[in-house]
Amino acid sequence: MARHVTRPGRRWLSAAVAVSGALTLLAGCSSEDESTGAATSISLVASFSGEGESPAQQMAQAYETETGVHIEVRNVPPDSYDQVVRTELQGGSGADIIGATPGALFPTSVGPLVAAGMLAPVTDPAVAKGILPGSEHLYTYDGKVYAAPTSIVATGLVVNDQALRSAGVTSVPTTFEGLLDSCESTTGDTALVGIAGSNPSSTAVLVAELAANHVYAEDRDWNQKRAAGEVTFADSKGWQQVFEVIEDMVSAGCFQDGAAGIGFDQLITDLVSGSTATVPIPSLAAASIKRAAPDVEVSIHAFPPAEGSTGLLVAGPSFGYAINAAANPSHQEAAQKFASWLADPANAQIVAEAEGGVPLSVVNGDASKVPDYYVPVADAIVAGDMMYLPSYDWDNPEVAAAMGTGVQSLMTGQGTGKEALQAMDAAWQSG
Amino acid sequence: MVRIRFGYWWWALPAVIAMAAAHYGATAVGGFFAFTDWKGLGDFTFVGLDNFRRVFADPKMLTALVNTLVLAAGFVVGTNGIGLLLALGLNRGVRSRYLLRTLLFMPVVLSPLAVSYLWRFIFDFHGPLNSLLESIGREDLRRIWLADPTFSLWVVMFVMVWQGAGIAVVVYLAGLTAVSIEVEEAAVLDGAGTWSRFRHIVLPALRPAITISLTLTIIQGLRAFDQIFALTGGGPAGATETMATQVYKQAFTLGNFGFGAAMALVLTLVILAFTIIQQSALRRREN
Repeated sequence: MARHVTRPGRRWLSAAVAVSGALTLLAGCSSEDESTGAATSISLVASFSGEGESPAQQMAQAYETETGVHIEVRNVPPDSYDQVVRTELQGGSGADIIGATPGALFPTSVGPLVAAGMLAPVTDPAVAKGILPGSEHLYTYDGKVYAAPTSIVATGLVVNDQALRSAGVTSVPTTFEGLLDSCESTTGDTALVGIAGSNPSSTAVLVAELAANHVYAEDRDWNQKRAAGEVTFADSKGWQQVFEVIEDMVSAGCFQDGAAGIGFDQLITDLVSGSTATVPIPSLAAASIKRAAPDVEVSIHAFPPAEGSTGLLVAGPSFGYAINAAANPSHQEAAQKFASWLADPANAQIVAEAEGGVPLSVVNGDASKVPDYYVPVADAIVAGDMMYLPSYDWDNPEVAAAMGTGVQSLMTGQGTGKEALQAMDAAWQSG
Repeated sequence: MVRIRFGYWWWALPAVIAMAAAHYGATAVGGFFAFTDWKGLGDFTFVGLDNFRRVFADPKMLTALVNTLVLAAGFVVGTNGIGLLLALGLNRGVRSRYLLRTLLFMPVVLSPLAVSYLWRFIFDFHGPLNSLLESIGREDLRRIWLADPTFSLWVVMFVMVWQGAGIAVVVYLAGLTAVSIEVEEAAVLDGAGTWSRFRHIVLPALRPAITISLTLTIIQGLRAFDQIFALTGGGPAGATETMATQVYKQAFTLGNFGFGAAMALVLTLVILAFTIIQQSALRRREN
């Protein structure tokens, strides 16, 4: 049988042609400018689930239009975000820019990522300047800033104004006692306060808002004292009041029927449809509703404090962009430029509009840039009279999980407020 | 005489190595992290048996272990009891038995998550079940099924049995083919009743099928995750938490990878122990 014999020289030539062809193709797809070596395309990973363009994609588009640098955005659903990002970073395949929550609470918060050596410091001093006073420690480790904050998100009561009126309540109560009265006097099938009882993250938001009024309004350094072991949750009068208040709300029938079994998606559906008038939730939900259902009148309010006491609005950036320390140098450089772009006050409006938040530049600045549905909390934000989500200071997510589960057990009669606080202390000790 | 050539066995070596690396290698690496404080990122330190001490000292873990055992026991009894009854009913005689077998097996091939989300809708407070109760005038029976600490575990068990019974039906139907019709007919002629025939003819022939079905359902029941995750997420307040859901939460939600690995190792040992006990008990009985 005749065999076709390839000579070694020709074989090598064929291989060389194939390799050079592949290299030419790869050069065409390169993410770097050949002449300057600067990155022309970088990657970004952010937490998002929903329809349409994510806030990160909108920001990336605006950035590309202005600078010509393409940002490849990858949206990861919130419930798998920590896991996906950690696996990628550990495997060395993480995105150049990583969406991270401030502080140390979650596995992908700035603190744990810095501790694991995964983040490069953000070098532009403008980024440090843009961080709201009092929250510098949530982004700064060993004197270096590791993430650029985006916009201010208020965690209060998101109100469906039409549903509130149809429930016979003319305006959002300004005191907790007024809220309880309204719960008892609502008419029709509308529940005054909605809660996703089956989702500990949702119930934890309610606790955080109440804790702002009962604990942190009086003592902003409470977390530092807890870290120093000077106070405990179970022995704190303010924290005890938080769970007493929730019991009062359950007794007054504030929550919707079957609240203990409601999931987060159902909660939002109920708020949009008007079967629930108010929901304690971050204001980003209001922005999403405004986009998805423009006819629904929504507004954001601080959770009403007890009569005669001063409340405290929970508000601050809930997200920041950090730079992957393992990204190649040209991509890190491009990521630094993106961080600088975020910190530029001229771009604050773009960032806020994309996220549905309030521009950072509004604090001690121009109140006219506050979106209309934020008006009830605008004064507090402009005056800087607010506090970030208190749990951002905690470095053990089990404490927040125990907090959320505590509300659940209170609603189902499985436990008491005291037991919930003891569980939070136990979780704190285990961390 | 056919001479067996030495060397045939190692032809399988690459596949054996690949399987060992994928199955046992990965398990061994996971087991290694059970002795560390690794958070899923960066460095770690060895903590000896600390993670295991924590597993047995934490009351939440004890609740999860009890729930795991209760769910597994209910699942084994439910799937095998219902599976055997259905298999006996569909073995002979029924004209539509082939269609019914297909319908009964259908839930097994569906995604547990998809099925659970469907049941979640049914058990929702405003869902069809409560609506039905309301329509028949039994409002007093309406409840938040999936957030009721008394009922939620039973609801999860019900869904698991609903989906798992089909596999037991198939195993028992296969086992029933070993039952001789002639022997059964002879027993009828001798005046043996239904129970007596089942006890002395059908059951002995079914023993291999029972062994297989029990082993499969014990393992499936002990490692149940999907249905719990989709129906209750382990709630309300840990009422349906099992070791499998705790492994997921600790390792992937809370970032305690080392502790989660320790829990996974304990769960593996529990499954192994129950499987060995069950196998040896049935083998002794067969002997």
